[in-house]
Amino acid sequence: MLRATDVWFAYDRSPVLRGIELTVADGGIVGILGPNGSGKTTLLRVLAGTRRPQRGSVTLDGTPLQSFSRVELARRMAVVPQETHLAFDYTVTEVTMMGRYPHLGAFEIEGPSDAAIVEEALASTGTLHLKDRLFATLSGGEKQRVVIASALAQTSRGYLLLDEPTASLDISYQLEVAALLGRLHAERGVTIVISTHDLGLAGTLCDRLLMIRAGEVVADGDTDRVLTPVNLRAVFDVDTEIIRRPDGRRVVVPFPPEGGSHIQS
Amino acid sequence: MSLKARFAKTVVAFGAMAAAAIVLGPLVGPTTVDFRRVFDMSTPFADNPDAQIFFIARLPRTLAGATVGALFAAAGVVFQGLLRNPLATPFTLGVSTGAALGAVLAITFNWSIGIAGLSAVPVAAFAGSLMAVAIVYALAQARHRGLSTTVLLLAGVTMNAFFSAMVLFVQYFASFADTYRTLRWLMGDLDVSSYQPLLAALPTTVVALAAFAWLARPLNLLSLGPDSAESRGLDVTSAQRVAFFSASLATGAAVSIGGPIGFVGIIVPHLVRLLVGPDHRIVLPASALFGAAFLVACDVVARTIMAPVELPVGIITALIGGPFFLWLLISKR
Repeated sequence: MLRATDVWFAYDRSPVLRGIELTVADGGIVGILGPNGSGKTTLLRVLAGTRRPQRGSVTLDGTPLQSFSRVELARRMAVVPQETHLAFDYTVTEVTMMGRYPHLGAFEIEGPSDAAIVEEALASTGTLHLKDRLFATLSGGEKQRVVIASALAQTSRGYLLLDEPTASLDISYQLEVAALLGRLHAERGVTIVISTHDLGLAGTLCDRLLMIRAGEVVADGDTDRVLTPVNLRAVFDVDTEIIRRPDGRRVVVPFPPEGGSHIQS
Repeated sequence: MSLKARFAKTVVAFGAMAAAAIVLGPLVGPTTVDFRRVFDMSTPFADNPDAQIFFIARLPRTLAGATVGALFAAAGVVFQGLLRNPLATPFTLGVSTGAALGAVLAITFNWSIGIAGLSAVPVAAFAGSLMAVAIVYALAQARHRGLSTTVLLLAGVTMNAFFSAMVLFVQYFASFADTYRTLRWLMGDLDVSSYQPLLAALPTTVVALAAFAWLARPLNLLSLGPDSAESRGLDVTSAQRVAFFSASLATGAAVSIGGPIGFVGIIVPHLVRLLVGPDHRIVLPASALFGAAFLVACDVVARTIMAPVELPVGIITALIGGPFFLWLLISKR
Protein backbone atom coordinates (compact mmCIF):
# COMPACT_ATOMS: atom_id res chain seq x y z
CA MET A 1 0.00 0.00 0.00
CA LEU A 2 1.26 3.41 -1.00
CA ARG A 3 0.08 6.18 1.28
CA ALA A 4 0.61 9.94 1.27
CA THR A 5 -0.16 11.75 4.51
CA ASP A 6 -0.50 15.54 4.67
CA VAL A 7 2.04 16.06 1.87
CA TRP A 8 3.29 19.61 1.31
CA PHE A 9 5.80 20.39 -1.38
CA ALA A 10 7.27 23.56 -2.89
CA TYR A 11 9.94 23.97 -5.58
CA ASP A 12 10.72 27.46 -4.32
CA ARG A 13 8.45 29.45 -2.03
CA SER A 14 4.84 28.94 -3.02
CA PRO A 15 3.65 25.40 -2.25
CA VAL A 16 2.61 23.24 -5.20
CA LEU A 17 1.08 20.54 -3.01
CA ARG A 18 -0.95 21.57 0.04
CA GLY A 19 -1.71 18.77 2.44
CA ILE A 20 -2.43 15.94 0.00
CA GLU A 21 -3.85 12.70 1.43
CA LEU A 22 -3.90 9.63 -0.81
CA THR A 23 -4.03 5.89 -0.34
CA VAL A 24 -3.28 3.49 -3.17
CA ALA A 25 -4.28 -0.09 -2.38
CA ASP A 26 -2.33 -2.97 -3.94
CA GLY A 27 -3.84 -3.96 -7.24
CA GLY A 28 -5.78 -0.75 -7.76
CA ILE A 29 -5.85 1.72 -10.63
CA VAL A 30 -5.87 5.21 -9.18
CA GLY A 31 -6.16 8.34 -11.26
CA ILE A 32 -4.89 11.73 -10.12
CA LEU A 33 -7.15 14.07 -12.02
CA GLY A 34 -6.69 17.80 -12.28
CA PRO A 35 -6.15 20.68 -14.72
CA ASN A 36 -2.75 21.85 -15.95
CA GLY A 37 -0.64 23.24 -13.15
CA SER A 38 -2.66 21.60 -10.38
CA GLY A 39 0.35 19.66 -9.07
CA LYS A 40 -0.32 16.24 -10.63
CA THR A 41 3.19 15.67 -11.94
CA THR A 42 4.74 16.92 -8.72
CA LEU A 43 2.51 14.61 -6.68
CA LEU A 44 3.59 11.69 -8.85
CA ARG A 45 7.25 12.59 -8.29
CA VAL A 46 6.68 12.75 -4.55
CA LEU A 47 4.90 9.37 -4.65
CA ALA A 48 7.84 7.94 -6.65
CA GLY A 49 10.30 9.25 -4.08
CA THR A 50 12.26 11.37 -6.56
CA ARG A 51 11.13 14.53 -4.70
CA ARG A 52 10.88 14.61 -0.94
CA PRO A 53 7.97 16.53 0.61
CA GLN A 54 8.86 19.39 2.94
CA ARG A 55 6.03 18.36 5.25
CA GLY A 56 4.13 15.11 5.61
CA SER A 57 5.25 11.71 4.46
CA VAL A 58 4.82 9.01 1.85
CA THR A 59 4.96 5.39 3.00
CA LEU A 60 5.19 2.14 1.09
CA ASP A 61 3.67 -0.72 3.12
CA GLY A 62 4.08 1.40 6.23
CA THR A 63 7.75 2.28 5.70
CA PRO A 64 8.65 5.87 4.78
CA LEU A 65 10.06 6.16 1.24
CA GLN A 66 13.28 7.80 2.45
CA SER A 67 14.07 4.63 4.45
CA PHE A 68 14.38 2.70 1.19
CA SER A 69 17.54 2.93 -0.89
CA ARG A 70 17.03 4.19 -4.46
CA VAL A 71 17.63 0.70 -5.76
CA GLU A 72 15.18 -0.97 -3.34
CA LEU A 73 12.54 1.55 -4.31
CA ALA A 74 13.22 1.13 -8.02
CA ARG A 75 12.67 -2.62 -7.74
CA ARG A 76 9.14 -2.03 -6.44
CA MET A 77 8.12 1.12 -8.27
CA ALA A 78 8.60 2.26 -11.87
CA VAL A 79 7.78 5.63 -13.39
CA VAL A 80 6.66 6.31 -16.96
CA PRO A 81 7.11 9.97 -17.90
CA GLN A 82 4.90 11.87 -20.31
CA GLU A 83 7.57 11.80 -22.99
CA THR A 84 11.01 10.23 -23.27
CA HIS A 85 13.78 11.76 -25.36
CA LEU A 86 17.08 9.92 -25.55
CA ALA A 87 20.41 11.68 -25.86
CA PHE A 88 21.80 8.83 -28.00
CA ASP A 89 20.45 6.30 -30.49
CA TYR A 90 19.60 3.31 -28.33
CA THR A 91 17.55 0.41 -29.68
CA VAL A 92 14.21 -0.63 -28.22
CA THR A 93 15.86 -3.62 -26.53
CA GLU A 94 18.56 -1.41 -24.99
CA VAL A 95 15.97 1.02 -23.62
CA THR A 96 13.92 -1.80 -22.13
CA MET A 97 17.08 -3.35 -20.67
CA MET A 98 17.68 -0.12 -18.73
CA GLY A 99 14.80 -1.23 -16.53
CA ARG A 100 17.07 -3.99 -15.21
CA TYR A 101 19.42 -1.41 -13.67
CA PRO A 102 18.29 -1.83 -10.02
CA HIS A 103 18.62 -5.62 -10.26
CA LEU A 104 22.31 -5.69 -11.18
CA GLY A 105 25.54 -4.91 -9.35
CA ALA A 106 27.72 -1.94 -10.34
CA PHE A 107 29.83 -3.88 -12.86
CA GLU A 108 27.41 -6.71 -13.58
CA ILE A 109 26.34 -7.41 -17.15
CA GLU A 110 22.80 -8.49 -18.02
CA GLY A 111 22.50 -12.26 -18.42
CA PRO A 112 20.05 -14.60 -20.17
CA SER A 113 17.42 -14.22 -17.43
CA ASP A 114 17.41 -10.44 -17.90
CA ALA A 115 17.10 -10.91 -21.66
CA ALA A 116 14.13 -13.24 -21.07
CA ILE A 117 12.45 -10.69 -18.77
CA VAL A 118 12.95 -7.95 -21.37
CA GLU A 119 11.49 -10.12 -24.17
CA GLU A 120 8.49 -10.93 -22.02
CA ALA A 121 7.95 -7.25 -21.17
CA LEU A 122 8.16 -6.30 -24.85
CA ALA A 123 5.77 -9.09 -25.77
CA SER A 124 3.19 -8.07 -23.19
CA THR A 125 3.20 -4.49 -24.46
CA GLY A 126 2.97 -5.65 -28.06
CA THR A 127 6.34 -4.22 -29.04
CA LEU A 128 8.45 -7.35 -29.47
CA HIS A 129 8.50 -6.88 -33.26
CA LEU A 130 10.17 -3.48 -32.71
CA LYS A 131 13.00 -4.80 -30.56
CA ASP A 132 15.85 -4.04 -32.96
CA ARG A 133 14.49 -0.66 -34.09
CA LEU A 134 16.03 2.60 -32.93
CA PHE A 135 13.84 4.10 -30.21
CA ALA A 136 14.00 7.55 -31.81
CA THR A 137 12.37 6.27 -35.02
CA LEU A 138 9.20 5.02 -33.29
CA SER A 139 5.80 6.77 -33.22
CA GLY A 140 4.68 8.42 -30.00
CA GLY A 141 2.40 5.52 -29.09
CA GLU A 142 5.09 2.93 -29.78
CA LYS A 143 7.59 4.87 -27.69
CA GLN A 144 5.16 5.01 -24.78
CA ARG A 145 4.56 1.25 -25.00
CA VAL A 146 8.31 0.59 -25.02
CA VAL A 147 8.82 2.81 -21.97
CA ILE A 148 6.01 0.89 -20.26
CA ALA A 149 7.84 -2.34 -21.20
CA SER A 150 10.98 -0.91 -19.61
CA ALA A 151 8.95 -0.20 -16.46
CA LEU A 152 7.64 -3.80 -16.46
CA ALA A 153 11.20 -5.12 -16.84
CA GLN A 154 12.04 -3.01 -13.82
CA THR A 155 9.20 -4.16 -11.58
CA SER A 156 6.93 -6.88 -12.88
CA ARG A 157 4.30 -6.90 -10.12
CA GLY A 158 4.99 -3.65 -8.33
CA TYR A 159 3.74 -0.12 -8.76
CA LEU A 160 3.53 1.62 -12.10
CA LEU A 161 3.37 5.41 -11.86
CA LEU A 162 2.46 7.08 -15.14
CA ASP A 163 2.66 10.82 -15.70
CA GLU A 164 0.02 11.86 -18.23
CA PRO A 165 0.78 8.81 -20.36
CA THR A 166 -1.56 9.85 -23.14
CA ALA A 167 -1.24 13.65 -23.10
CA SER A 168 1.00 13.92 -26.15
CA LEU A 169 -0.61 11.17 -28.20
CA ASP A 170 -3.19 11.07 -30.98
CA ILE A 171 -6.61 9.73 -30.06
CA SER A 172 -5.98 6.25 -31.46
CA TYR A 173 -2.71 5.94 -29.53
CA GLN A 174 -4.44 7.26 -26.42
CA LEU A 175 -6.98 4.45 -26.61
CA GLU A 176 -4.22 1.94 -27.38
CA VAL A 177 -2.21 2.91 -24.30
CA ALA A 178 -5.34 2.95 -22.14
CA ALA A 179 -6.27 -0.54 -23.32
CA LEU A 180 -2.73 -1.76 -22.65
CA LEU A 181 -2.80 -0.42 -19.09
CA GLY A 182 -6.18 -2.04 -18.44
CA ARG A 183 -4.86 -5.36 -19.72
CA LEU A 184 -1.63 -5.20 -17.69
CA HIS A 185 -3.69 -4.47 -14.60
CA ALA A 186 -6.08 -7.36 -15.23
CA GLU A 187 -3.46 -9.92 -16.28
CA ARG A 188 -0.52 -9.12 -14.01
CA GLY A 189 -2.16 -7.42 -11.08
CA VAL A 190 0.19 -4.43 -11.24
CA THR A 191 -0.88 -1.43 -9.22
CA ILE A 192 -1.25 1.63 -11.41
CA VAL A 193 -1.24 5.31 -10.52
CA ILE A 194 -1.92 7.73 -13.37
CA SER A 195 -1.83 11.48 -13.37
CA THR A 196 -4.05 12.85 -16.09
CA HIS A 197 -6.36 15.61 -17.19
CA ASP A 198 -7.98 13.25 -19.66
CA LEU A 199 -11.55 12.75 -18.43
CA GLY A 200 -12.09 9.82 -20.78
CA LEU A 201 -9.04 7.95 -19.49
CA ALA A 202 -9.98 8.68 -15.88
CA GLY A 203 -13.57 7.55 -16.37
CA THR A 204 -12.91 4.33 -18.26
CA LEU A 205 -9.70 3.06 -16.72
CA CYS A 206 -9.50 4.15 -13.08
CA ASP A 207 -11.40 2.49 -10.27
CA ARG A 208 -10.53 5.30 -7.90
CA LEU A 209 -9.91 9.00 -8.45
CA LEU A 210 -8.17 11.78 -6.58
CA MET A 211 -9.26 15.14 -7.92
CA ILE A 212 -6.92 17.99 -7.18
CA ARG A 213 -6.90 21.66 -7.91
CA ALA A 214 -4.12 24.12 -7.01
CA GLY A 215 -2.39 21.45 -4.96
CA GLU A 216 -5.39 20.61 -2.79
CA VAL A 217 -7.67 17.58 -2.78
CA VAL A 218 -11.15 18.41 -4.04
CA ALA A 219 -12.56 14.88 -4.05
CA ASP A 220 -11.27 11.39 -3.36
CA GLY A 221 -13.01 8.05 -3.73
CA ASP A 222 -14.46 5.49 -6.11
CA THR A 223 -14.69 6.76 -9.66
CA ASP A 224 -18.51 6.45 -9.61
CA ARG A 225 -18.81 8.70 -6.60
CA VAL A 226 -16.15 11.22 -7.55
CA LEU A 227 -16.64 11.68 -11.28
CA THR A 228 -19.68 13.92 -11.00
CA PRO A 229 -20.69 17.12 -12.78
CA VAL A 230 -20.43 19.00 -9.49
CA ASN A 231 -16.82 17.93 -8.85
CA LEU A 232 -15.79 18.42 -12.47
CA ARG A 233 -17.25 21.89 -12.35
CA ALA A 234 -15.22 22.63 -9.21
CA VAL A 235 -11.96 21.31 -10.66
CA PHE A 236 -12.09 22.12 -14.36
CA ASP A 237 -14.61 25.01 -14.57
CA VAL A 238 -16.68 23.15 -17.14
CA ASP A 239 -20.18 21.75 -17.15
CA THR A 240 -20.42 18.09 -18.01
CA GLU A 241 -22.86 15.32 -18.49
CA ILE A 242 -21.90 11.78 -17.52
CA ILE A 243 -23.36 9.11 -19.75
CA ARG A 244 -23.43 5.52 -18.57
CA ARG A 245 -23.02 3.11 -21.49
CA PRO A 246 -24.63 -0.35 -21.43
CA ASP A 247 -21.21 -1.98 -20.81
CA GLY A 248 -20.78 0.07 -17.65
CA ARG A 249 -18.26 2.51 -19.10
CA ARG A 250 -18.63 6.16 -18.27
CA VAL A 251 -18.47 8.78 -20.96
CA VAL A 252 -17.92 12.35 -19.88
CA VAL A 253 -19.32 14.94 -22.23
CA PRO A 254 -18.03 18.45 -21.45
CA PHE A 255 -19.61 21.65 -22.65
CA PRO A 256 -18.74 25.27 -21.91
CA PRO A 257 -20.55 26.93 -19.00
CA GLU A 258 -23.72 28.67 -20.16
CA GLY A 259 -23.07 32.28 -20.98
CA GLY A 260 -19.75 32.18 -19.15
CA SER A 261 -17.25 30.73 -21.56
CA HIS A 262 -13.58 31.60 -21.09
CA ILE A 263 -13.43 32.60 -24.72
CA GLN A 264 -15.81 35.35 -25.72
CA SER A 265 -17.08 34.95 -29.24
CA MET B 1 25.37 -11.46 -29.66
CA SER B 2 25.53 -11.04 -25.91
CA LEU B 3 26.96 -7.88 -24.42
CA LYS B 4 29.91 -9.81 -23.00
CA ALA B 5 30.86 -11.12 -26.44
CA ARG B 6 30.43 -7.67 -28.01
CA PHE B 7 32.56 -6.16 -25.25
CA ALA B 8 35.34 -8.72 -25.72
CA LYS B 9 35.30 -8.38 -29.50
CA THR B 10 35.40 -4.58 -29.36
CA VAL B 11 38.17 -4.40 -26.79
CA VAL B 12 40.31 -6.89 -28.74
CA ALA B 13 39.79 -5.08 -32.05
CA PHE B 14 40.39 -1.55 -30.74
CA GLY B 15 43.12 -2.78 -28.39
CA ALA B 16 44.99 -4.28 -31.36
CA MET B 17 44.67 -0.97 -33.15
CA ALA B 18 46.13 0.95 -30.17
CA ALA B 19 48.94 -1.60 -29.69
CA ALA B 20 49.84 -1.46 -33.37
CA ALA B 21 49.98 2.34 -33.28
CA ILE B 22 52.19 2.34 -30.19
CA VAL B 23 54.64 -0.22 -31.65
CA LEU B 24 54.73 1.22 -35.18
CA GLY B 25 54.67 4.92 -34.24
CA PRO B 26 58.23 5.12 -32.88
CA LEU B 27 59.61 3.40 -36.00
CA VAL B 28 58.76 6.47 -38.06
CA GLY B 29 61.09 9.46 -37.98
CA PRO B 30 64.12 11.18 -39.55
CA THR B 31 66.36 8.21 -38.69
CA THR B 32 65.02 4.91 -39.93
CA VAL B 33 64.73 2.35 -37.17
CA ASP B 34 64.67 -1.35 -37.94
CA PHE B 35 61.89 -3.20 -36.14
CA ARG B 36 63.82 -6.47 -35.78
CA ARG B 37 66.94 -4.80 -34.40
CA VAL B 38 64.87 -2.84 -31.82
CA PHE B 39 63.71 -6.07 -30.23
CA ASP B 40 66.97 -7.93 -30.81
CA MET B 41 67.73 -9.19 -27.31
CA SER B 42 71.18 -10.61 -28.20
CA THR B 43 72.70 -7.11 -28.52
CA PRO B 44 73.13 -5.21 -25.23
CA PHE B 45 70.97 -2.08 -25.03
CA ALA B 46 74.06 0.19 -24.81
CA ASP B 47 75.29 -1.09 -28.18
CA ASN B 48 71.90 -1.02 -29.92
CA PRO B 49 71.23 2.44 -31.43
CA ASP B 50 67.92 1.27 -32.91
CA ALA B 51 66.61 0.27 -29.49
CA GLN B 52 67.96 3.48 -27.95
CA ILE B 53 66.18 5.68 -30.48
CA PHE B 54 63.01 3.60 -30.12
CA PHE B 55 62.81 3.44 -26.32
CA ILE B 56 64.54 6.65 -25.23
CA ALA B 57 63.93 9.17 -27.98
CA ARG B 58 60.57 8.20 -29.49
CA LEU B 59 58.56 5.87 -27.27
CA PRO B 60 57.89 8.47 -24.52
CA ARG B 61 56.29 10.78 -27.08
CA THR B 62 54.25 7.93 -28.55
CA LEU B 63 53.05 6.81 -25.14
CA ALA B 64 52.23 10.42 -24.27
CA GLY B 65 50.16 10.60 -27.45
CA ALA B 66 48.38 7.38 -26.57
CA THR B 67 47.64 8.51 -23.01
CA VAL B 68 46.45 11.97 -24.04
CA GLY B 69 44.35 10.54 -26.89
CA ALA B 70 42.73 7.97 -24.61
CA LEU B 71 41.98 10.56 -21.91
CA PHE B 72 40.51 13.14 -24.30
CA ALA B 73 38.38 10.58 -26.13
CA ALA B 74 37.03 8.97 -22.96
CA ALA B 75 36.49 12.35 -21.27
CA GLY B 76 34.58 13.43 -24.38
CA VAL B 77 32.27 10.42 -24.04
CA VAL B 78 31.65 11.21 -20.37
CA PHE B 79 30.97 14.93 -20.98
CA GLN B 80 28.59 14.09 -23.83
CA GLY B 81 26.74 11.66 -21.58
CA LEU B 82 26.69 14.02 -18.61
CA LEU B 83 25.44 17.00 -20.61
CA ARG B 84 23.18 14.74 -22.73
CA ASN B 85 24.61 16.54 -25.72
CA PRO B 86 26.53 14.69 -28.44
CA LEU B 87 28.30 17.90 -29.45
CA ALA B 88 29.96 18.48 -26.05
CA THR B 89 33.75 18.21 -25.89
CA PRO B 90 36.28 17.93 -23.04
CA PHE B 91 36.83 21.68 -23.48
CA THR B 92 33.16 22.73 -23.26
CA LEU B 93 33.20 23.32 -19.51
CA GLY B 94 36.29 25.53 -19.35
CA VAL B 95 38.79 23.00 -17.98
CA SER B 96 41.25 23.45 -20.84
CA THR B 97 41.04 27.24 -20.87
CA GLY B 98 41.76 27.23 -17.14
CA ALA B 99 44.78 25.06 -17.88
CA ALA B 100 45.81 27.47 -20.64
CA LEU B 101 45.70 30.38 -18.21
CA GLY B 102 47.97 28.45 -15.83
CA ALA B 103 50.40 27.59 -18.63
CA VAL B 104 50.49 31.14 -19.98
CA LEU B 105 51.17 32.54 -16.51
CA ALA B 106 54.00 30.05 -16.00
CA ILE B 107 55.54 30.85 -19.38
CA THR B 108 55.17 34.63 -19.18
CA PHE B 109 56.40 35.09 -15.64
CA ASN B 110 59.04 32.36 -15.84
CA TRP B 111 57.68 30.46 -12.87
CA SER B 112 60.03 27.81 -11.60
CA ILE B 113 57.72 25.78 -9.40
CA GLY B 114 58.60 22.22 -10.30
CA ILE B 115 56.91 19.25 -8.66
CA ALA B 116 58.05 15.63 -9.05
CA GLY B 117 60.62 16.50 -11.67
CA LEU B 118 58.08 18.31 -13.84
CA SER B 119 58.70 21.77 -15.19
CA ALA B 120 56.50 24.67 -14.19
CA VAL B 121 54.27 24.73 -17.29
CA PRO B 122 52.52 21.36 -16.89
CA VAL B 123 52.19 21.89 -13.15
CA ALA B 124 50.67 25.33 -13.64
CA ALA B 125 48.41 24.00 -16.42
CA PHE B 126 47.09 21.23 -14.18
CA ALA B 127 46.58 23.70 -11.32
CA GLY B 128 44.74 26.02 -13.70
CA SER B 129 42.43 23.24 -14.80
CA LEU B 130 41.64 22.37 -11.17
CA MET B 131 40.82 26.01 -10.48
CA ALA B 132 38.47 26.11 -13.47
CA VAL B 133 36.78 22.88 -12.33
CA ALA B 134 36.25 24.27 -8.83
CA ILE B 135 34.78 27.55 -10.09
CA VAL B 136 32.44 25.94 -12.63
CA TYR B 137 31.30 23.38 -10.05
CA ALA B 138 30.64 26.04 -7.43
CA LEU B 139 28.59 28.05 -9.94
CA ALA B 140 26.55 25.03 -11.06
CA GLN B 141 25.95 24.03 -7.47
CA ALA B 142 24.99 27.45 -6.18
CA ARG B 143 21.42 27.69 -7.43
CA HIS B 144 20.39 24.06 -7.19
CA ARG B 145 20.40 21.27 -4.66
CA GLY B 146 21.87 18.89 -7.21
CA LEU B 147 23.89 19.65 -10.30
CA SER B 148 21.99 21.36 -13.06
CA THR B 149 23.50 20.43 -16.39
CA THR B 150 22.02 23.56 -17.95
CA VAL B 151 23.72 25.79 -15.39
CA LEU B 152 26.87 23.67 -15.73
CA LEU B 153 26.91 24.34 -19.46
CA LEU B 154 26.28 28.07 -19.06
CA ALA B 155 28.90 28.39 -16.33
CA GLY B 156 31.39 26.43 -18.43
CA VAL B 157 30.86 28.50 -21.56
CA THR B 158 31.06 31.73 -19.56
CA MET B 159 34.25 30.72 -17.76
CA ASN B 160 35.74 29.61 -21.09
CA ALA B 161 35.26 33.13 -22.44
CA PHE B 162 36.53 34.72 -19.24
CA PHE B 163 39.68 32.59 -19.04
CA SER B 164 40.37 33.26 -22.73
CA ALA B 165 40.25 36.98 -21.99
CA MET B 166 42.66 36.45 -19.09
CA VAL B 167 45.01 34.50 -21.37
CA LEU B 168 45.06 37.42 -23.80
CA PHE B 169 45.51 39.88 -20.95
CA VAL B 170 48.56 38.02 -19.62
CA GLN B 171 49.95 37.57 -23.14
CA TYR B 172 49.85 41.29 -23.66
CA PHE B 173 52.70 41.64 -21.16
CA ALA B 174 54.77 38.80 -22.56
CA SER B 175 57.96 39.10 -24.59
CA PHE B 176 57.95 37.93 -28.20
CA ALA B 177 59.80 34.74 -27.30
CA ASP B 178 57.29 33.92 -24.55
CA THR B 179 54.38 34.76 -26.83
CA TYR B 180 55.74 32.30 -29.35
CA ARG B 181 56.06 29.59 -26.67
CA THR B 182 52.54 30.30 -25.49
CA LEU B 183 51.17 30.06 -29.00
CA ARG B 184 52.99 26.78 -29.52
CA TRP B 185 51.50 25.45 -26.29
CA LEU B 186 47.98 26.59 -27.24
CA MET B 187 48.24 24.72 -30.55
CA GLY B 188 48.54 21.44 -28.67
CA ASP B 189 51.95 19.87 -29.00
CA LEU B 190 53.18 16.48 -27.83
CA ASP B 191 56.71 17.67 -27.24
CA VAL B 192 57.51 14.95 -24.69
CA SER B 193 61.03 13.59 -24.47
CA SER B 194 61.06 11.67 -21.19
CA TYR B 195 58.85 9.32 -19.21
CA GLN B 196 58.60 11.85 -16.36
CA PRO B 197 55.37 13.63 -17.47
CA LEU B 198 53.71 10.26 -18.02
CA LEU B 199 54.62 9.02 -14.55
CA ALA B 200 53.39 12.28 -13.06
CA ALA B 201 50.04 11.95 -14.83
CA LEU B 202 49.68 8.25 -13.98
CA PRO B 203 47.78 8.56 -10.66
CA THR B 204 45.21 10.98 -12.12
CA THR B 205 44.85 8.80 -15.20
CA VAL B 206 44.23 5.66 -13.16
CA VAL B 207 41.67 7.36 -10.91
CA ALA B 208 39.84 8.87 -13.90
CA LEU B 209 39.73 5.61 -15.86
CA ALA B 210 38.47 3.69 -12.80
CA ALA B 211 35.70 6.26 -12.38
CA PHE B 212 34.86 5.94 -16.10
CA ALA B 213 34.49 2.17 -15.73
CA TRP B 214 31.95 2.69 -12.96
CA LEU B 215 30.19 5.45 -14.93
CA ALA B 216 29.38 3.33 -17.98
CA ARG B 217 25.98 2.13 -16.78
CA PRO B 218 24.95 5.37 -15.06
CA LEU B 219 25.67 7.26 -18.30
CA ASN B 220 23.35 4.92 -20.18
CA LEU B 221 20.57 5.74 -17.73
CA LEU B 222 21.31 9.48 -17.78
CA SER B 223 20.58 9.58 -21.48
CA LEU B 224 16.93 8.90 -20.56
CA GLY B 225 16.92 12.14 -18.57
CA PRO B 226 17.62 12.67 -14.87
CA ASP B 227 14.12 11.89 -13.57
CA SER B 228 13.84 8.63 -15.48
CA ALA B 229 17.35 7.64 -14.41
CA GLU B 230 16.52 8.32 -10.78
CA SER B 231 13.32 6.30 -10.88
CA ARG B 232 15.33 3.35 -12.23
CA GLY B 233 17.45 3.41 -9.10
CA LEU B 234 20.38 5.68 -10.01
CA ASP B 235 21.60 8.30 -7.56
CA VAL B 236 21.68 10.94 -10.28
CA THR B 237 23.44 13.72 -8.39
CA SER B 238 26.30 11.45 -7.28
CA ALA B 239 26.68 10.03 -10.77
CA GLN B 240 26.76 13.54 -12.26
CA ARG B 241 29.37 14.62 -9.72
CA VAL B 242 31.58 11.61 -10.41
CA ALA B 243 31.21 12.20 -14.15
CA PHE B 244 32.03 15.91 -13.92
CA PHE B 245 35.07 15.53 -11.67
CA SER B 246 36.58 12.44 -13.29
CA ALA B 247 36.19 13.77 -16.84
CA SER B 248 37.56 17.15 -15.76
CA LEU B 249 40.56 15.53 -14.05
CA ALA B 250 41.23 13.42 -17.13
CA THR B 251 41.05 16.54 -19.30
CA GLY B 252 43.33 18.46 -16.93
CA ALA B 253 45.93 15.68 -16.93
CA ALA B 254 45.81 15.35 -20.71
CA VAL B 255 46.10 19.10 -21.27
CA SER B 256 49.03 19.35 -18.88
CA ILE B 257 50.91 16.78 -20.99
CA GLY B 258 49.98 17.79 -24.52
CA GLY B 259 48.23 21.14 -24.37
CA PRO B 260 44.66 21.66 -25.60
CA ILE B 261 44.71 19.26 -28.57
CA GLY B 262 41.30 19.79 -30.10
CA PHE B 263 38.68 17.55 -31.66
CA VAL B 264 39.98 14.18 -30.38
CA GLY B 265 37.24 14.23 -27.73
CA ILE B 266 34.50 14.58 -30.32
CA ILE B 267 35.72 12.79 -33.46
CA VAL B 268 36.63 9.57 -31.68
CA PRO B 269 33.43 9.08 -29.63
CA HIS B 270 31.29 9.73 -32.70
CA LEU B 271 33.15 7.32 -34.95
CA VAL B 272 33.05 4.71 -32.19
CA ARG B 273 29.28 5.12 -31.69
CA LEU B 274 28.78 4.72 -35.44
CA LEU B 275 30.73 1.45 -35.25
CA VAL B 276 29.54 -0.12 -31.99
CA GLY B 277 26.29 1.62 -30.99
CA PRO B 278 25.63 3.90 -28.01
CA ASP B 279 26.04 1.54 -25.00
CA HIS B 280 28.62 3.30 -22.79
CA ARG B 281 29.98 0.00 -21.49
CA ILE B 282 31.37 -0.57 -24.98
CA VAL B 283 31.74 3.04 -26.16
CA LEU B 284 33.98 4.06 -23.25
CA PRO B 285 36.73 1.41 -23.54
CA ALA B 286 36.54 1.48 -27.33
CA SER B 287 36.88 5.28 -27.41
CA ALA B 288 39.85 5.24 -25.03
CA LEU B 289 41.67 2.67 -27.17
CA PHE B 290 40.71 4.25 -30.47
CA GLY B 291 41.61 7.70 -29.11
CA ALA B 292 45.09 6.40 -28.24
CA ALA B 293 45.59 4.98 -31.74
CA PHE B 294 44.12 8.08 -33.40
CA LEU B 295 46.34 10.60 -31.64
CA VAL B 296 49.50 8.51 -32.14
CA ALA B 297 48.69 8.30 -35.84
CA CYS B 298 48.00 12.05 -36.05
CA ASP B 299 51.29 12.71 -34.31
CA VAL B 300 53.16 10.54 -36.81
CA VAL B 301 51.60 12.65 -39.57
CA ALA B 302 52.50 15.85 -37.73
CA ARG B 303 56.12 14.76 -37.36
CA THR B 304 56.59 13.63 -40.94
CA ILE B 305 54.33 15.61 -43.27
CA MET B 306 56.65 18.65 -43.40
CA ALA B 307 59.85 17.00 -42.13
CA PRO B 308 62.27 18.15 -40.90
CA VAL B 309 59.72 20.63 -39.50
CA GLU B 310 57.54 19.02 -36.81
CA LEU B 311 54.05 20.47 -36.76
CA PRO B 312 52.11 20.63 -33.49
CA VAL B 313 49.70 17.69 -33.54
CA GLY B 314 46.82 20.01 -32.64
CA ILE B 315 46.98 21.44 -36.16
CA ILE B 316 46.51 17.99 -37.67
CA THR B 317 43.59 17.03 -35.40
CA ALA B 318 41.95 20.39 -36.11
CA LEU B 319 42.40 19.95 -39.87
CA ILE B 320 40.65 16.58 -39.63
CA GLY B 321 38.22 17.66 -36.93
CA GLY B 322 36.82 20.85 -38.44
CA PRO B 323 35.32 19.24 -41.54
CA PHE B 324 34.26 16.21 -39.47
CA PHE B 325 32.39 18.45 -37.04
CA LEU B 326 30.59 20.17 -39.92
CA TRP B 327 29.64 16.84 -41.44
CA LEU B 328 28.27 15.80 -38.06
CA LEU B 329 26.15 18.95 -37.77
CA ILE B 330 24.77 18.59 -41.28
CA SER B 331 24.08 14.85 -41.16
CA LYS B 332 22.38 15.01 -37.74
CA ARG B 333 18.67 14.35 -38.09
